[in-house]
Amino acid sequence: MPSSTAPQLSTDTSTASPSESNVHSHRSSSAGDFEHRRHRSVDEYSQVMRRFRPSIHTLHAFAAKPLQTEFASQEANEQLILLLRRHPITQVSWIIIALVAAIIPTFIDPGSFFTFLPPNYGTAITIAWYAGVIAYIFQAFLAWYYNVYLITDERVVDVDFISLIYRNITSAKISNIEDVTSTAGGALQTVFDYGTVTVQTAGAKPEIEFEDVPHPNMIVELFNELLQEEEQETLEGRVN
Amino acid sequence: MQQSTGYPSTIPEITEAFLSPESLMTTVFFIGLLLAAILYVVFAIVIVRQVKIMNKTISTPLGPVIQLLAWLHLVFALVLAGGIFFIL
Repeated sequence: MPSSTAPQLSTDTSTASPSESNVHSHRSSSAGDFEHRRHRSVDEYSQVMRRFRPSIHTLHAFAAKPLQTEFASQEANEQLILLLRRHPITQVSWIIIALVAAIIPTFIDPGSFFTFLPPNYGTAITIAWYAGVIAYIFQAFLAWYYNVYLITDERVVDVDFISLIYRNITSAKISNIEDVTSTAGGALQTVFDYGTVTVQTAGAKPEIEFEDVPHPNMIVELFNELLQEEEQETLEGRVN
Repeated sequence: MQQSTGYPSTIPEITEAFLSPESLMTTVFFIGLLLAAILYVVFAIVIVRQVKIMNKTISTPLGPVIQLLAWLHLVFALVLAGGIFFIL
């Protein structure tokens, strides 16, 4: 696993597209030319990302240039720019439910409801209750932790961990993005600065939604910068 | 005179031991708890599998820790199911 401070790169090139193989041959043709046409780092063209240091905190909902983080279909030279999760404030409801559920047996003894059962059944019911609480917490945490939105310099990837048995991964190329809008409404979203960013694409799935993500305006700004860079790359004929 | 073994031996004793409302409720609770424990083990196995898949999908520094927690959770579920089956 790479451990440098630079954005992580995948070494797996088995999924490289035909256009990428052309790129490889182009690279080998002239090292000097490649230097000139090199892939720029995000800090070179993004004012939004320049404000952030590479994130080492794995539990952040807004992790800029996350270190030691890779995703399955990441291509060589593809920089992971931003990893997003739902804002932590949106997780408060399940945390409160879990806390209340966890303290219920300290006030109400389940054995007192079932006096006709042997005493060890009361203990078993209490342990079963706590097991249920643990399962609920674990499942809710996993749903938050693995439900991520990734922005690279080439693509936007939406990993939906909807439930334990259903997940969905969608990605779209930055060059296919047609429109980006952010929606934030209500007191909570305004106070904690989170909202939904909708990315309209020309791909098979026309819309990718980043739900309840922190700093939605900043994300829209970043998309604009990425789109400009993408246009610039096309104009200058730089490698992708 | 035959010494008592502690187990029901006569028909009324057997009827009392197995068909009394208390015994039936105990049996119902035992089966219910056992089924819940089995479902919990299945849930824990699904979590282990899903965490493994998700760690392949997105690799983070916390991934191995979550994987370990998922395995510990499965061990806990198995111990719980064993406890219900053998102790109750």
